[in-house]
Amino acid sequence: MPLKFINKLCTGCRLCELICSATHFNEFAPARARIRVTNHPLEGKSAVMACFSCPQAPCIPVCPQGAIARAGARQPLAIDLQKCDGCGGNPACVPACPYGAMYFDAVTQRALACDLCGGDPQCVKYCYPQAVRLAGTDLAE
Amino acid sequence: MKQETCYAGKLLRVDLTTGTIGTERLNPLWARDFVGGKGLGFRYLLDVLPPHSDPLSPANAIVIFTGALAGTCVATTARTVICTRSPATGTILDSYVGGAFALQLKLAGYDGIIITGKAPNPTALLIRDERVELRDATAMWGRGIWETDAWMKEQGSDHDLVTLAIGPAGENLVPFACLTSEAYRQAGRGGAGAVFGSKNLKAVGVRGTGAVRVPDMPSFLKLYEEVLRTNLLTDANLWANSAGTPMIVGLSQGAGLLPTRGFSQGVFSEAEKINAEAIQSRKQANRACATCPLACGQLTRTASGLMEGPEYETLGMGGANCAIGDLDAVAAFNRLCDNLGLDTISTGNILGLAMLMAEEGIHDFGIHFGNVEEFLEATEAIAYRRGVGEVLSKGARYIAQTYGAEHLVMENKGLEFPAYDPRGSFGMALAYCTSDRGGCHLRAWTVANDAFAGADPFTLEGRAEMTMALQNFNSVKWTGIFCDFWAIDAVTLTRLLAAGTGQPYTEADIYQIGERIWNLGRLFNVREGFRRKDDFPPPAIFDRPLPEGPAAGKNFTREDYDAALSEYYRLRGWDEDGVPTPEKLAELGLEDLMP
Repeated sequence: MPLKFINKLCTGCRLCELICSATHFNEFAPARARIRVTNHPLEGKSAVMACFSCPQAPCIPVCPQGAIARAGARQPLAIDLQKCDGCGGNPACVPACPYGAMYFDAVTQRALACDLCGGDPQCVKYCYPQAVRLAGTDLAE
Repeated sequence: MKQETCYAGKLLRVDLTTGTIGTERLNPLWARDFVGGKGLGFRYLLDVLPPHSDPLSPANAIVIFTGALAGTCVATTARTVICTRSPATGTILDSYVGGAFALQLKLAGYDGIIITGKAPNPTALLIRDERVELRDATAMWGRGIWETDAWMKEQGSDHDLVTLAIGPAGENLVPFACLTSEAYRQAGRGGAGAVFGSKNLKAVGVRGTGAVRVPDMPSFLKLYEEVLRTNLLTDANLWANSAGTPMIVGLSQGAGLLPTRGFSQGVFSEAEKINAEAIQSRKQANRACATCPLACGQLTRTASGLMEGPEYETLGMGGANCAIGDLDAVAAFNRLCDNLGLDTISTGNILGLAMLMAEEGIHDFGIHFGNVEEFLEATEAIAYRRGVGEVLSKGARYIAQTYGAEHLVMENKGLEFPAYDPRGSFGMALAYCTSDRGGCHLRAWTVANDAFAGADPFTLEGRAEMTMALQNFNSVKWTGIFCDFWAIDAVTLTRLLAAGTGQPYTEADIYQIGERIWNLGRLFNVREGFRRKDDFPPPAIFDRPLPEGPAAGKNFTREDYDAALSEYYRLRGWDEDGVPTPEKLAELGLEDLMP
């Protein structure tokens, strides 16, 4: 089940970014998170985004190393970190994503995308306002 | 291998006079003994600030600190403290702001910033990881805070840059000028904004892309998951999410201690127009500080636009205390204060006093109870110190002394009382007047234990001990920096601080750290001449009982208060003049700071 975002419920707390990086890298490092929040405090608006396994997945064909794959449509991406070379710091996959959901990890020099934590996404678990959910699990919106 | 801890281990030092920027190692012994936030902020301030420095002179210092747990996932700990010598009181000042400033500062690699001197021109401090620079901010001088915030993001070429900024009030050295961060969050009390202004410092902006670590991440997350479920997302805290602080309007009104008409009454006839229900009927969403699931910010639709708030203190001091039973008018006042950089508490207290003085025939400043136009005009005039704003900007104490209204004024040490009238909860008098920064409710919110809890609020019995215990506990809680809205217990606090810092703190250590920090603040104030004589409430508390409501006719005498104060000093291990004894200081490891 891919992720789904309800921006009007996002309070802008960024806990998802912290939990994501802590889970994957053992450190609180929002710059290494696979989920990102954009805040507009004055207007009281926030938006949250991560790879939600879009049908087209334009990131896959643009990778010169063939490092990005997935098991099927709407399945999470799998980035082969042996093959991914970060395109020398200018990754082709990052601008290819129309949703701004593909990131670049400055520490490993590799691409970063949501892997759904192997099926139990921690961002979903920690999102008290339920702005981040698994698609198909929500109530009427 | 060196153990990873939640500290960045590094401080930033900025001398605005010379433009020198440097870094230094966080003192590890101080980190162990004072933890973070209020504790380290006070410790460093005492270290860098020469005695008797004029608060608005280049000699004053600004110590901005993160809490020990800033940058971790622990709720509410992304709060920031600004420590300095207050221009409103001359006491030590610790002023807190929520939002995400501390998160960004820690991710940039710093536990705190020490700012000294005075810049030759309007200046902004821009921090992006190790890139730290001073930028000419002349273009923003005179501009509002919201515009300045957007400008800072442009200067840093980063939408996620978070700022602390002053508005015209801070530039014009209004002694109750605040700092605003992320539009609606303020380091409100005590005039940190004026200290920024006196240094030509318009804003500090920070963006960090690094990491914060803890000794054992899997255990840390496991502990936090448990704490979230059993200690945070509970009824004791979730009121902040569902209703937020406007809920207190009903409590204070019900207890008859809602400051009304310049503190001349404790019940406001139009309270239902500015209470939680009034806010709820216009609520659009919840907004949060970094990491916080409570998300107490109530995004409210008002005539002047969508905004977070108004919060209880603004509803009380700008609403009831000025007899403004109009939510849109209070919201407009709130927006003016947030953008111009005024503390809504002091501003509302002063306006209410001025209105009462007109009503009592003492002096007519041209502002009157319930007049929205005058109310909003005067607020703006204070920020710019023009017309009637010039005298009002000097604070309630000055106004009372100058115009003969000392029998009406509500302040301690020059800090205007907030929205809990001590005549409706006697313990609050002791809480306000023994507070380290003057008349403040946050160090010991004793009203929650009596008037709001069905216990007898009209007694000073036991209040010395209660006040002391709360002051000590909040002092260590604010090393985190945990928010007031999380009713965290000592055991949980101890576990979280230990898990983050790697220090084997026990519950006993935690209590002692709180007491140590409180005594440190007192030492600062003693150094600046504060003694017993300064720890008394104003005459109206004794001489002018409230006329109606649950607290009608209730008061206590100077002798009652004097006895409670003596009890407080005795429990604290201070002498009869309020000076910590050598024995107490030795017990707390503060003997090297003995006056």
